[in-house]
Amino acid sequence: MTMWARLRSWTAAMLGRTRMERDMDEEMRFHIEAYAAELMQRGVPQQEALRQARLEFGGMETAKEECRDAVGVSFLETLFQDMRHGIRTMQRTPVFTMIAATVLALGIGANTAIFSVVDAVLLRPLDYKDSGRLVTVLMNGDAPVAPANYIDWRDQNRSFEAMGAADYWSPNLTGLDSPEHLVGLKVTQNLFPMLGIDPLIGRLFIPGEDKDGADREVILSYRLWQRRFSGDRNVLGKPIVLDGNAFTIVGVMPQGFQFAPFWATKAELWVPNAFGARIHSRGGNSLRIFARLKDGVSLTQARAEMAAITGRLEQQYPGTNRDVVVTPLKEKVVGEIETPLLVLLGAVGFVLLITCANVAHMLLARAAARQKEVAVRTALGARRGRIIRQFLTESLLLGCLGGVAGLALAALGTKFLVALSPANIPRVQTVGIDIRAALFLFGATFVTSIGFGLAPALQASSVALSDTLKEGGRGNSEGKGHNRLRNLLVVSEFALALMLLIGAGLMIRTFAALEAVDAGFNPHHVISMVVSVAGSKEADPSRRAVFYRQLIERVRSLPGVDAAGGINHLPLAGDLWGWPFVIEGRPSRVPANIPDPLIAW
Amino acid sequence: MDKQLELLQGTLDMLILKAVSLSPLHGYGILLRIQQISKERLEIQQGSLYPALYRLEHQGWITSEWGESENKRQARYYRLTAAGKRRLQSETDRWNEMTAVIAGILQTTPEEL
Repeated sequence: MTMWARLRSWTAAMLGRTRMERDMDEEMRFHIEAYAAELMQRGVPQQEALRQARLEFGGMETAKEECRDAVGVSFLETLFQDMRHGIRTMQRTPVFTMIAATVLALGIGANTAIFSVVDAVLLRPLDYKDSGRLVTVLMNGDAPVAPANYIDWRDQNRSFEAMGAADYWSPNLTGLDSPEHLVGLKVTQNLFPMLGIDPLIGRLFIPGEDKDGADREVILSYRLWQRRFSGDRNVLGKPIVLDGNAFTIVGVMPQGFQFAPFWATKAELWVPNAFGARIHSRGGNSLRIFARLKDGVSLTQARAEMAAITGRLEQQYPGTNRDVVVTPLKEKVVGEIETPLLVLLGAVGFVLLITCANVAHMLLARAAARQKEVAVRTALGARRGRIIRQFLTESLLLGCLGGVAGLALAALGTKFLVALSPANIPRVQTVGIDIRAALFLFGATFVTSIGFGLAPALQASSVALSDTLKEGGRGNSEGKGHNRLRNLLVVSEFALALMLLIGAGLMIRTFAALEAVDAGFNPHHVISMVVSVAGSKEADPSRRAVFYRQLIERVRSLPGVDAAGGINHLPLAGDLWGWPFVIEGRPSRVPANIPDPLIAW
Repeated sequence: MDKQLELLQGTLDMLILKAVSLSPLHGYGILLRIQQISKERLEIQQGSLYPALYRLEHQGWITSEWGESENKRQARYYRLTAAGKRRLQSETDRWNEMTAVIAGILQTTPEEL
């Protein structure tokens, strides 16, 4: 009730500013005239009566100001006044303003850019339905799983709502105007429903489509659909040729959909995974397992159950099912990058602190030069709070200037960071200045402004009036406290800078050391390319070897080529791959009952 | 006439509420009413009346509207609201309690201790 009255009175006063002024004026004049009239009735002459009435009423302007204060109008009034004053001060000292704003823009911009990366990569939940309940089940938390093991886990567990598998597959797309080597995944039918993402058009795979002979459907990513089919909605039901086989397009996923999130991140198409003969393989590890925890089942419970299941299976099939780890999907996605990113965020945080200290230092120096101004204002009746408020308003103005420039820097900075970022940073494509980053920028600007403005404001407002005025307006006396504050700032700035410098130095050392690591071979002047024969007539096992041998021969004979060779997986390319092997002269640990130890990629 | 008493800190609001509780009044009228009831024994800084009025209206305890005064001029009349009535009651109770306590302390004699 009273809150409402207060708000109403305030808005009425703000909106009807002129009316309030007129009312106040009229009301007080009425008072004075009524009093004067009474005095006149008692025989006081008109002139004298008016004079006396005014005198007894007291300062009309003061009363009005107090009325405005009472309704709270003067808060904004004062703010505008301070801002005008602040802008004039900034205009008078353009160089100072520019330097301070530039320093602030760098600090705030760098922080916002890094924050937007941290936010997109670390803070946001993954873009799947209820993604907090999604997990991966991998050997050692990292390595892929063999099909027969997956089938056993899927059938035996009670912890998971669903458990699906994805297999890397990079087919050649042919039959269109130009062939293209694509990255894709073979997924079990239950995988996409588990993620809870609906297709943009068409449908997901339906049960039965991951069976042998029925696995000829394909779902496209939005990007592939746009790139190769110009976003044509009529692609549904049309065939495309992948590795020489015709697949029917059944759906297109929405823009921004990414799967898998931590590996094969560039996958642009998905087909059902019919395991074929490999369904009995316990040695060809190629599957990444994804699962969704049932409601009410904790991660610990799921881990315990998986440990029991894999323990049983290991006894049954020695050498398999060891070190199976259940990891939350989010952790799997951001796990490796989390610490470096947080360190980076901390580092730019220090940069912002240095920025604050720097600008505070500059403002302190200027506050010393403005002592006379403050002294005069104090002498004219300005209270300390009022002076502090004015200085803080000026700081906020300066901060906003830096913030706006910082926004531009951050927008550039994020583009730069994304372009520079190593390929293995998940979700980096989604980095950008959005509303969350803007809010962060706003907050950072505000906190920074108060941070660098408070000390100078307190300092300036504590001017000893008589001293400053007595000094004949030189206004250059600096008290002991003043010096101590500035010394403190210099020391902390120096300490922070030193810390950052050492940190950066160590990072460069690490990087240099990594560069200098002997890989065991000479990588200089070596170039690589990917050639795939999948789907062509060269894919026939009898012709494949001949094809590659001929290819390598002909590459060797090219001018400028010293030597040439081929390999299925490039060394040190960050690829993971399971392959059973036998050490000569030692008993084989590979399970004997693997019908198909070869992995058909 | 006795020497005028300076108004105790914070009591002006209460007096205004009381004055307008009797009948709607304009600012000058409030002043006259308080002086009349107090038999001119309270000294009120005339200018300070208006910030108090604006504050009370802002808090929703009184409301105002323009009306015609005795001498046919437009004047702003203040009137107590329901919230103001409750406020006046609680302020009055508090004041009575306070004065009773303080009077009690001031009347204490050594024998009573």
